[in-house]
Amino acid sequence: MKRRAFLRFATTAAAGVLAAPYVQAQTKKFANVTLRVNGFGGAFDEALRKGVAGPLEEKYGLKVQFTAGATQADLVKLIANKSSPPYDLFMCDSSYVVELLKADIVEEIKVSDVPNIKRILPGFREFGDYGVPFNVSSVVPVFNSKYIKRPLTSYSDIARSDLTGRVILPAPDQIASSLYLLGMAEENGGSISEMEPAMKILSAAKPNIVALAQTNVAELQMFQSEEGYAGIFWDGRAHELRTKGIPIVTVFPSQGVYSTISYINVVKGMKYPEAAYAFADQLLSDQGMLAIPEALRYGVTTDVKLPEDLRRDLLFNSPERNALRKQIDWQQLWANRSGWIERVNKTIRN
Amino acid sequence: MKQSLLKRRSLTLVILLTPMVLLLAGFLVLPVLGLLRSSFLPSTHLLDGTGFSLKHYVHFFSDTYYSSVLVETFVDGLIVSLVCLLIGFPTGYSLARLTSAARRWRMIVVILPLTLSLVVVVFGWLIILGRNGLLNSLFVYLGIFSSPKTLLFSRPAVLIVLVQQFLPFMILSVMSVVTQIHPVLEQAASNLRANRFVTFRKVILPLAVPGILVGFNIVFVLSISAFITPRLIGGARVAMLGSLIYETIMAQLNWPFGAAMAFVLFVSGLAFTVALNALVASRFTVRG
Repeated sequence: MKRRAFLRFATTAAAGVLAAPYVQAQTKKFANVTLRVNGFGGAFDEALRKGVAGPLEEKYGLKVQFTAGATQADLVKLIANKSSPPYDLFMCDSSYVVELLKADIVEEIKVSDVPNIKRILPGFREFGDYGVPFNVSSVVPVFNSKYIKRPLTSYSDIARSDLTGRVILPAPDQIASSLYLLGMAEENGGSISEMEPAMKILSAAKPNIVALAQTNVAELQMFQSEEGYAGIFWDGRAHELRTKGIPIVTVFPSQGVYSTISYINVVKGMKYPEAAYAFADQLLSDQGMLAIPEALRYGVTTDVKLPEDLRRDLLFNSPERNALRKQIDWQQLWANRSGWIERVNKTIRN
Repeated sequence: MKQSLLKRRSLTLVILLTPMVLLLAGFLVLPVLGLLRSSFLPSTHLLDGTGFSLKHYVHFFSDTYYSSVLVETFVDGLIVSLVCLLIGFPTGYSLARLTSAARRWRMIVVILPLTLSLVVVVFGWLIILGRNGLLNSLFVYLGIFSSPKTLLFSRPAVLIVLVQQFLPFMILSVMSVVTQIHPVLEQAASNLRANRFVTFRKVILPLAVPGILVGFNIVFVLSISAFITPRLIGGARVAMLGSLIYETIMAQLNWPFGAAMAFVLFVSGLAFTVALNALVASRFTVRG
């Protein structure tokens, strides 16, 4: 080979080697696409980055940008900016889906778009073709076994006379509050439209209630600093307390458990529906579905096979237990919630 | 000549004031007017719908719960302002009487809490007042408590934290006015055989009234509109209107009712401070 030909060949080869990754990235299906998602923050978003966003970027070149914030505030932002939505995908719990539907700002997601939808467990997709459920958080009675020797067995047990000045509950404006109120009502013959039994239990529990926690972090700290020994909390947060060495026992009420499901919703008018469907599909895949339970021990929504250590820790870990998850009329709950908050405020603060 | 000077001065005044007026009009007056309008919407939801209704004001004033929370909020605001005055006046006075070099470091100590995020301050208090916190440990160590007690989630706890948060405003207001009172006046009073108390009552206090009023107003307004402290330190058991407004708007998404409550708080707070200022001015102002 002549010197000139050799140099030409070598230059071309080197340029090819250098440009290969770039060219490959450009050829990926969603290269240069970034999905904007509102985040819940902390370990939750981190788990989604690891189990969903990471693999998507590797496979399709798709980038996902989580912006952590309060869901209420993000929802208001979304509703106020319908024509130019700040998010492509909106992540929220069941109660907020009601608002999304009312505001008509999310698209339907069909099984033809997201094949893994067929893996969702019966009863876990509460809004027809709207939203993709990917996580279950349950509100359950909890107690510190170091101090409470007689286990709680139901939501109504917070009114037990041996718990004076020892109970911590989520504040009335938290969705957890609406769920335990519903639990207390239904345990005592009430219903979503007849909450008087719950209010009676709450009145009886008033001397027991040391604080109403305004945030999950505040409640976590209250249990950690032993401000209270019993109460009602999210199952994942109770697990977090156990990992911090606090002997918190999670109770599975025999009459049923009240949960909220986290959904990912495709915002109307977003530019990349296919990328959004890819996100949802990855979320429902084994890898995506196990990301949050592995990090936070919240429940799954699909038929994914749970590793034994995970199965032991999760509240809904068998078909029998899944059957005890109470179905909630979110439309009605959302419509009644304002009145419940007012009643709780008056009961507790008076 | 004189007229052109006056013209130039008023033009300068307009130029200097215009940015602030525009800023206030765009980001305060207009939103407040929007708030006022939304408080008259008949809806009980986000800002949807049209129409005009007094139902949210009727709901507020016809339900004794809300009016009692309003009264409690004002009482809390008054307590916090008075405690801040009692602690802040001597501090502000003593700072004002120092040389500027000696005052510098002490001022940094006074201002330092204002540089911290409110949430950080509140979480600090949660740790101090908690059952395993500093105060409980100290009381148990000193034998005052036999076992740790719940110090948080009560009205006194909320008031203590509010006083700590707003005390610098009182100190700074008092100090700025006392520095204008020449020490010669105190010496003159002393020469006229006035004791320290009489000097304080007859000389210092009347001259320091503007600073006290400003400090009182700032602390009062900040206290009645507080919502993070009552929510986190009071554990939702201590009712203050600010936290109810936050809850109504952010959790119940009932913007019109939240706006009505905000407006009631705004108007009643304004009326209270105007009345207080008029009362104090009539007591301490000498009419010629």
